[in-house]
Amino acid sequence: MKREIPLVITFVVGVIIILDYFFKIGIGTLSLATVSMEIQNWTLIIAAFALGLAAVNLLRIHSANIRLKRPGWYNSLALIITMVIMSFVGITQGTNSPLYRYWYTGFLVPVDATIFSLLAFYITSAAYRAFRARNVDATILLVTAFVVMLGRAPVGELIWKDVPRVTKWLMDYPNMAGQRGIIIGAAVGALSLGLRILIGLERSYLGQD
Amino acid sequence: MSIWQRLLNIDRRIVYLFLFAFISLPLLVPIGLPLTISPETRAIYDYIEKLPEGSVVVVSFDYSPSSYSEQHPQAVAVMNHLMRKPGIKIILVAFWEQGPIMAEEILRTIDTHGKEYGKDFVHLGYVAGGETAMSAFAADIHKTFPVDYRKNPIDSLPMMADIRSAKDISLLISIAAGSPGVPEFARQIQGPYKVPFAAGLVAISVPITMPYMQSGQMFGLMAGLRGAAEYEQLLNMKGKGSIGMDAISFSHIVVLAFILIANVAYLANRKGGAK
Amino acid sequence: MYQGRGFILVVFVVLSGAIFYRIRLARTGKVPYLRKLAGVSAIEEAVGRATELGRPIVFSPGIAGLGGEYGAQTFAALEILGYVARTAAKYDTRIIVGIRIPEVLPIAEEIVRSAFAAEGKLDRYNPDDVRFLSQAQFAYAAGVMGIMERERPGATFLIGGFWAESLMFAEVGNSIGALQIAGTANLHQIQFFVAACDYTLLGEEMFAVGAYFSGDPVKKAIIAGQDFGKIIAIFLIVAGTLFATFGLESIVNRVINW
Repeated sequence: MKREIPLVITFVVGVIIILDYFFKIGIGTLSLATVSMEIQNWTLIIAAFALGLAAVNLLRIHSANIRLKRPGWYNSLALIITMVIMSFVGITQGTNSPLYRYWYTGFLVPVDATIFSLLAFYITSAAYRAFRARNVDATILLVTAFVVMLGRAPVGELIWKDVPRVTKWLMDYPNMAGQRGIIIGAAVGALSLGLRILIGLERSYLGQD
Repeated sequence: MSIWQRLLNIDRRIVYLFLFAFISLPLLVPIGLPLTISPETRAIYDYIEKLPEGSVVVVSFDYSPSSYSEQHPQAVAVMNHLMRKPGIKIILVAFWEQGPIMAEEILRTIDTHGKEYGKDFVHLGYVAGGETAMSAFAADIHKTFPVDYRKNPIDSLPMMADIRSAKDISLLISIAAGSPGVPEFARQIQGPYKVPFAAGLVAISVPITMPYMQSGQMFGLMAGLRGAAEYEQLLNMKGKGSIGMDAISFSHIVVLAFILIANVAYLANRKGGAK
Repeated sequence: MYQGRGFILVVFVVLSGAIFYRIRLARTGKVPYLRKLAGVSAIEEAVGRATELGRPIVFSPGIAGLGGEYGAQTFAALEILGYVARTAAKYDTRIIVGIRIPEVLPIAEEIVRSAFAAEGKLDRYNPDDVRFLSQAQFAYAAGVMGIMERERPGATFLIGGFWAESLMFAEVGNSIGALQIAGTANLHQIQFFVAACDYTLLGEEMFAVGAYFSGDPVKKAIIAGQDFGKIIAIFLIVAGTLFATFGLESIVNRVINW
């Protein structure tokens, strides 16, 4: 029963959502759209509970780090302190309060943006390593990357004024054609996986048999 | 180890150092490289310019601090344009939970050109649920947001008296960093209600969003920081987008230079090996 | 029926029909042949490498949730996690899983726990190795990169829905010399994985991996059924192009808006 009940729920919920996407079905005041909306609301509630579980997981692991004085335990301490402060201020004073805004714009925004900006460094090192004219295919990739990068920066136009036009052509045609091929394949693959889950053929998300 | 082999295996920290220097320099000493305006950005500007008085524009803040440096200048530019236009009503909304904080930051610092909160613009805040929430918002704004972000009942805001659903919206602009974003808006609001739709995007997601432009589901887009810089140029304002453009150019030069070095070294090395 | 969804319904029914037809064929013994995927064969190699080096495996199932259009990628990642965890348990190799979406946490915990149980090594399962890191995208990214730097894994698996963090993970993994297997259907990230990882499962390949592992003829049949979907897509592209070329776009629009 431990496996059958989730499989039945998956099937019933899946069929309701699919039918609701295509058809307007209703009996009296009860419509399929209402049921579907209600199910989707439940997912939000379940997600909220899951967040609680996740917080417990986080606290368990990091309090153990502090208790056992594992290497870098002070990072775990910083995490727990900031988590408690942000939660407390957010719950008691709201996210529009000056104190919350101070922590948010003073700490979270710059730290988050800094991590994102690391991407520029990683792109440079990956490009340096990957774009090498090893064979014909790699050379085509290299030349295309070169032109597209030039076309995306104002300096490209100073070198050759038509670079943005060539870039646009490359992006709109060869690039788009390849992308659509992958999109179609992935969409069909996702649909097939969805069917496998719906009819209970794919149940690895429930753990091993 | 020969010079070519060394150039083939430059320590990544040296690569990072060069990039850091070349990004920082133009930020400290801006050069002001010329910039052509893409038709996609201009389309948004022109559309807003032609909006008649009384039009309702929804600006959706669907990004978080991580893409702040790339997308906040887009939002600032568009909001500046909308505030400058007399008679335009603006609804700020968010389907990303951190969006309202971005919206409030703009509202605190922007020149409203005499526009008043509640009469000319409102901030409804965030609603959870992603695509489902978008669908609910489009069907009934008042039911989805009984109160605004500042805790005023929506029925107490004069501007909202006649704005009930997506049918009353003249233009939708999403500053979208990911999901929910363009595909969800296209499915839930643009498609069913035929609301003209444009977006500001992080540069990396522009190629996958182009099909929405080609199909006409979107009429305009701002691509990353460059899009923001272009919009600022159209508005004749000097914002963070314009300041960042030189840094972007320089960073591209560094990447291209390292690719060139690697390839020259690779070919020279191969030639040497073949002898 | 809602306007604009009739055509999608037809495609959905035809494609599902093709898949069910292939399942019926498989049940009568006609099992289709699946070509080998380099990324799939490399999964065992990666676990083996981590075992030889005496280092752990780091697995990230991406940052997408369980619902919406990206949900399928997370399910595919969890399917692969089950196989990787079981292989790791077999070789007594530690597996660390970094989670961003809270709903995925209990599922990933159960998958890893039951994989160790299935190998009769429940005592080797460490619940602290399936870790929720943060819901914030870049806090999660920092968490995974930190784990990679500290634990120096022998192999990393980056499979699921990834966005800007993809290249960060792949580059850090590369810098520590881990064998990296990646997979995503997020188009704008595929190139980063291809550039920085050893093997990449491209789009639909990621969804097909479960069928490869199980050896189940019915699952294989479903993969073969997918090909029919692609044939439909090719047919529609050609038809649409012809209609557009001859100025008959109104017919295409009428079909799409049905």
